[in-house]
Amino acid sequence: MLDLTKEYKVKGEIVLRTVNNNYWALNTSNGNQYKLNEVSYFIINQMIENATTIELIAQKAVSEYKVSFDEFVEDCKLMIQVALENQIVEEVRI
Amino acid sequence: MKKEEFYFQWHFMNSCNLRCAHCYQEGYHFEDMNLEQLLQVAKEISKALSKWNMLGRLSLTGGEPFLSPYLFDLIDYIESDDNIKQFDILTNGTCINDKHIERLKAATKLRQIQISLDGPTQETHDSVRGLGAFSKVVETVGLLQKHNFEVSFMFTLMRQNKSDAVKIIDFADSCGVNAVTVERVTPCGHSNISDVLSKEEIKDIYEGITLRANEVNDELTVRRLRPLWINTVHLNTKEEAKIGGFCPVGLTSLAILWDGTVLPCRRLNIPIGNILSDGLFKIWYSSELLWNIRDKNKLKGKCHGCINVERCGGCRAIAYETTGDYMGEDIQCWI
Repeated sequence: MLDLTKEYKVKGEIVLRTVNNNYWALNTSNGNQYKLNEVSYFIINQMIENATTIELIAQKAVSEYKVSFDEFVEDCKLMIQVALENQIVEEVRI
Repeated sequence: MKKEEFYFQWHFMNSCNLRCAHCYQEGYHFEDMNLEQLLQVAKEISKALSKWNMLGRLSLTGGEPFLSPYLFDLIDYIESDDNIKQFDILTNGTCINDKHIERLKAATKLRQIQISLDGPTQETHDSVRGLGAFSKVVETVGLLQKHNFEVSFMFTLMRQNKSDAVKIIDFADSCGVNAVTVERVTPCGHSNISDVLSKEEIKDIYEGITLRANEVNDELTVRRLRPLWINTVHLNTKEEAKIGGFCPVGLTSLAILWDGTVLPCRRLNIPIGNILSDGLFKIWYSSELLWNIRDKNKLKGKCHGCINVERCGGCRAIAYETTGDYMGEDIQCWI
């Protein structure tokens, strides 16, 4: 189960790109391409520079989108779970 | 479902027997790859095609590809690789002999042999490519046609041969070749800005070619799925749908040089990585240049917001070499 306070980071071989309201996560190592929606892109983009937590991502999201903290946390958990399974992000163990 | 295609122009060696006035190569004295390295490049191409679920179209070229000891090893590889649909060979047409012909006959994926022709006469062609080149080309065309290969001409349009541009259509028609492409010179390598024609000159030549193409034998294709040709669409009386095209650079094409350097296009001489050290995925996904080119909204000058952008977009190589900005306008556009 994902923990709100665990830290996650985008893996080094992943690049995020957007052109004309299309969003992608692209694996430069194995070539996998993932088409994202705007919110997924927002979530993953929060983890591109530095590791961060679901809690911090959700705090930022509520200031940018009309969404409640709890609702966003649930969406964010799902998204990060999928991103972990597809090796787009990794958990950072401190 | 029909797979999309991806085009690689692979300059797999740079040795050449000619020293053409407008050649995009900056030198000729480098060590070409060995066979092991070439096959590594070919497999990297195949891996990317497989991942992207696309079919490859390759142009094998140089330098002069028929000087390579490995040309037919590469063809053997291509024939065996299901990710590669077809290939062309781009040649100066001066080195093909009977032994080559016999081996080429066995190549089931060979679509055509494209021969560079810079004028319909010995005077013009040899002035660009050197004495004796024209007569060798004529001889080679005859040899290839005798054995039923598809042959096309590539005419590089520049100041030196501008008066021959329309005549090249008639010459191609009289030779019975399958297709002719007229491509504007890019002032890089051995070419320079004085070779580049004005937009008024380009307009006259493109319109002249269009009118002539309307009249020639239907078996000759004048290839115009390229930038700027859309400006002539009102003059075309046949195959309007085949006029004008957005350049595939950044979308479905790449050029690879003799040492593995990857360019967006052979004429857009800005390296974006090396296929052997970086791999294609990293280059294709990470290159800022490619991402800029993919975004038509970033085009500048008259190309920005142009009504023809979907079927043109201008030539990024011409823009780069004439304005210093690969997103700049195509200075040869006359509209």
